[in-house]
Amino acid sequence: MQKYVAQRLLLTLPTIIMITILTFLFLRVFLPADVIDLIIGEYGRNDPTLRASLEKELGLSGSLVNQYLEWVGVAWFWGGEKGILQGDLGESLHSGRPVLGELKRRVPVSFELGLWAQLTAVATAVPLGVWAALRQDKFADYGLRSFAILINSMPSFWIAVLVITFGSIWFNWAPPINFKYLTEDPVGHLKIMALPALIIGLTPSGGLIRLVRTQMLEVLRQDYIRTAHAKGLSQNTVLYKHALRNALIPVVTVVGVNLPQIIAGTVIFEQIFIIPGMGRYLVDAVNNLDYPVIQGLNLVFAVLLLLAILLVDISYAFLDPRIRFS
Amino acid sequence: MAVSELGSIAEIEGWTQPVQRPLLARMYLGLRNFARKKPLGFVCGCVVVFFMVIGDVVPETLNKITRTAGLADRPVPYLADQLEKQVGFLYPYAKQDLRARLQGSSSKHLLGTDAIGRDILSRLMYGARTAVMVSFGAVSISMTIGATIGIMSGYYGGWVDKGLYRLVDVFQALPGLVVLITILGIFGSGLWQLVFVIGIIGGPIQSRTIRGQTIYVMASPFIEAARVIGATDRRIMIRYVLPNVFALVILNATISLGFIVLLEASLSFLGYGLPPPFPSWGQMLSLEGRQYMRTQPGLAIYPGLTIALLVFSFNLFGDALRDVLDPRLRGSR
Repeated sequence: MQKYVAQRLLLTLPTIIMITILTFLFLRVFLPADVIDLIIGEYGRNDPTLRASLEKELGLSGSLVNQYLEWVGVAWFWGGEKGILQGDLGESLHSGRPVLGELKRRVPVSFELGLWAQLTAVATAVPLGVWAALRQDKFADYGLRSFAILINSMPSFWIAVLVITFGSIWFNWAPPINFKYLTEDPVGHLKIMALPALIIGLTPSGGLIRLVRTQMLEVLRQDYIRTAHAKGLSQNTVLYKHALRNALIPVVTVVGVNLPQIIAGTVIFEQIFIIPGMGRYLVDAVNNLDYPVIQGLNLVFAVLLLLAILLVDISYAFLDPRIRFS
Repeated sequence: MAVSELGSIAEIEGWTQPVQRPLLARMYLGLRNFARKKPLGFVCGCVVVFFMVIGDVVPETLNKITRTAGLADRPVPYLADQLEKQVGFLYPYAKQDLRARLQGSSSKHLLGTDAIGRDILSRLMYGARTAVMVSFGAVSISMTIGATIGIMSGYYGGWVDKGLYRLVDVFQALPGLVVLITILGIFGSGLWQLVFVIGIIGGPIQSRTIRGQTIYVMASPFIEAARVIGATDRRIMIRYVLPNVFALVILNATISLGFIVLLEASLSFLGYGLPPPFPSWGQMLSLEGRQYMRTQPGLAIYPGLTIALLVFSFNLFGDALRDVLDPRLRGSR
């Protein structure tokens, strides 16, 4: 088990390095507009010394390899500037504030929203999927499956738009503008997060219902379920101890693989429901070509997602002994 | 007995060769078979075709190709232009009528008008082009990439496999929407940018199942036979492996079509879709129109309904196709 975890951890390293290279290439090398030009435009004079000093300050001078090493923070070991390895993601070109501090405030909000969404999805989809499986080919089964397909086809941001439009027409309701952080006002915080989490969770729950249903049906056909029935276990024990636990193994994978996309998808809902997560930050940064922020966001996001995938793989090994011992 | 004599013997004995019908007839028969087995899937396929026709997908693609090839002397006519001339309630997508702002349904504007007096139905029609073209274009690109990576890593194995797999890992860890916003926001967006960026970002992930299938196919005796007669690697991959994993490629493609429609709608909704005057369904729902949705709820309802209809059709069509192509996978999604 420890060997497996260590192996997975080691395999994550090259991926992270590749991601930093990709981010660097895209935001420094392929960039169509020159960031320095943009800033100098704000100063209003084209001054070679100003340009040189800006280049030095922003880490844009020297060869590309050097720039990359400096950005990552490897150059720090032989006396360069601080980089990512030292926890310095640079400062925003516009506000001048350190990116890391801003991210520390915003990333948890987005992640929390994504987690809540996934949680509501799992909490509704698993019981419904089991129910549909137990009533296979009856009305409840057909109803739930159609519902699942329908939910899967609807863009969830459309549901949010509808909720806001008709909420304002019928109940004169609008999403609250003042965001409350979890540490300040837990109840108010959850009140704000509940609706978007519910709506974001709808789309994945559609797929999950169908997955749980087919997995349940698959497992219920197995020999060991018949054995469990034969040795006189109660229906509930067979269902929850033997069938459900086995049926949920693939569900864990799907949940884990989806989680990154759901968290990335919160960008839209943060715009709709005015939640100060990474969405607004990203959109502003992209529009202003604030590349330290964009780099930082993409990088932090990718690394967190890698960790999520890693956790899923490890929990998978915990759940399924066949992986652990092979 | 020489091989050439076999034909004459067959004639004498009254054997008949199996009739090879012409391609069109076979396609027709296949379609009829599909419609009988999966009526709902067939209807959904028709809905998709309807959206393709309404959205002028074929003329737009042909025109783009001739324009880039420099042969643009006579562009293919668009169906939409003809419809606007013939039908009273369809208009060009950017035609504003400021005296008829935010109207409800009427015989002149079947679904009403938006905040600057543009006909919603006409804009929905043009939006079909964005949705269908982006989904089909992006899927074909990502399937090409996915099949290439999957077949190569399954075929060569070893270091090629490991290297390509790290690459796939990287793409799997990319936070889809965030990366798309970054790239489209910085490099500018448009129909073909959307197609290529979505296609390339989504490509490597598709290779996983194809790699598995390739490894399975590689164990078959005909691969060995091909090696024995001296076929090159490339030939084996294209002529022997690809046809055998192609059903899976088609399946993956149909499954991702609906997802890409939703992705495009999300991007347009956030303002990273096509540049403004050209409509897309997601952009029609976007935040700029929000204050008008209170007075004209149709603005919020119809574009979402068309998105849902198209995605629903893609999904059910994909399901039906999967059941017909690969019965083992039935109900697995």
